[in-house]
Amino acid sequence: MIDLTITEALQKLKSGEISAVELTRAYLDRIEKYGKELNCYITVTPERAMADAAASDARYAAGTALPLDGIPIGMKDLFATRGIRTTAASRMLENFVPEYESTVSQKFIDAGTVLLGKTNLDEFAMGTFSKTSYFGAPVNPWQMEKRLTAGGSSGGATSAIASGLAIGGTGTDTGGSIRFPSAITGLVGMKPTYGLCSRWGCVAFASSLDTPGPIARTVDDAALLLSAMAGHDPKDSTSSDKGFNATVPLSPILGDGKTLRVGIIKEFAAVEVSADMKRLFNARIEDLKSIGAEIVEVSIPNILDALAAYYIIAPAEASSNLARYDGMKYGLRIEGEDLIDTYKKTRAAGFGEEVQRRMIVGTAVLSSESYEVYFMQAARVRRMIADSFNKAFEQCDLILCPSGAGTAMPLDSDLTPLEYYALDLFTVAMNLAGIPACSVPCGLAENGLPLGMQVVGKRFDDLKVLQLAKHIEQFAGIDNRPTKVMGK
Amino acid sequence: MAFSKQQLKKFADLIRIDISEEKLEKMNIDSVIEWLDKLQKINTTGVEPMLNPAEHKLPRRADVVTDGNIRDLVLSNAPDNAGISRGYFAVPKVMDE
Repeated sequence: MIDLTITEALQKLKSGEISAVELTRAYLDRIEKYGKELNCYITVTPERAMADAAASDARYAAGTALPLDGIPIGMKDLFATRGIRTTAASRMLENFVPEYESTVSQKFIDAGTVLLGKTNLDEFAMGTFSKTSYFGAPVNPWQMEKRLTAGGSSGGATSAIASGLAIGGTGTDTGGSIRFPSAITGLVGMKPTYGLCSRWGCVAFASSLDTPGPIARTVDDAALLLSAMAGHDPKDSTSSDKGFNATVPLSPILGDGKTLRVGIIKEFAAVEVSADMKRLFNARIEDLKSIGAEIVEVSIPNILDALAAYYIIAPAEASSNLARYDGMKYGLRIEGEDLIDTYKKTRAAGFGEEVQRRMIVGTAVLSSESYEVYFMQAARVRRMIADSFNKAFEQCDLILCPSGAGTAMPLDSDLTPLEYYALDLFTVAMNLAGIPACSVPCGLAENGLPLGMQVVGKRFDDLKVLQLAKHIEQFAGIDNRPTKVMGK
Repeated sequence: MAFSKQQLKKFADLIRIDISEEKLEKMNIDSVIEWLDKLQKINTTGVEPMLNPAEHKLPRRADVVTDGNIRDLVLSNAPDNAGISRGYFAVPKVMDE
């Protein structure tokens, strides 16, 4: 049962072949067996899950089933869930139990999903290996004995979904945090257009970049999850009134004489990637050409500077967003000699090293002497990158590029901060521009590990992005069934 | 632009993080900021800064109360529960005698 996709599970639930309770119990059993080893959940919610499942079965029986009724998902532990501890993987929020529900998690309740638990992540979503989590790093189920990273920051979600400890789930993507972990775990990770999914109730990292989105094993599944998550929210002023509603199977965007102009970014050609990545990327492009895609070279002149612009803007926004954790109204408090000392001791103990580093960098680039030189300059470069994408989309309909340079690295890799940051090279520009991008498996490397490539679109072309991703998925044809990945 | 040790310490103070100079040094913040300097060479004259990709006109909400009367819920995560029964957050003393 664990190998079912969401699309398949929904059919079996509808036909009565399986019940939501059976499906949920299968996942809870598997979490019980492998959850600790994979460390993909911070909090497992078995009672809630069984209650959700029973309610789903009752709705199926009554003929009032909801769109995703009975589908057991993992929620990144960045989304506030009423009555369920929400930690952002930080000691600061280790015991925080929200009394409200984030818009995205509420939408999943409204769609009838079953909540299995809250998935692990980098502390406040800051990282690429999920190693900055206060609760320790999740493990990639592919070649598990090698203890590879499941990526970050949504690494708990990718670890859980790739191993069959959830059928699908949510992530958030500020600079690649959905796409990078999905790519190295053989999953589909969709960063929607900024504004398509509400950020309300999602612990803030960098508000102009944070984008909730789905992670799943297939493109169709990701489209179903996104349909549930998206939609206008009056509580998030940046949320758009454009919704997203896909029916699956998604219809082909190529074949039967259809034409599509697909752009390849010239500047990325100069970036060193693994031989496997190059080979698979080119192979998928040839495949798409064979069904009618016209390949166009496009230029995003400053795309290689996106990384530095991102590492100014994101820490700057984070340093101001994280000012709220002062130990007074909620979260950790370490008593000091006086009020200021209490603040300082609380924040020194509550935030991990990477969060502190980014907050200090963020404060530096916002300080009066450097605000123009760093922050505003980065905001101007951001505009240039967004404009270049707009121009590129006059020459092509969608753009393709790698999701990362190579396969999953060992968790004990000892990288410098700048080496970690460089892993975001292929993903950050889309966050700066606010455009949709989906990482989809493009094949297996020689070492047997999965690689992913991105389909990128214009703002609100999310459906087209997924449609093209589906062609790539079909050509790549990797087997990401959890029992196959885990060998059990 | 390089920041001195004292400046970095000041930034940490401003955001209320208690940190030793040794730890601050180990964080390699200098190397991060030095790398950010590469943006300086880009000519951005006349480019309007982009602060958010959602450039639609921000909607105005009707000036009505949408929630309220949830004092106990708001207090439920208070780190010091001494004030909760009286409906307050208990915080360290702010003023001297």
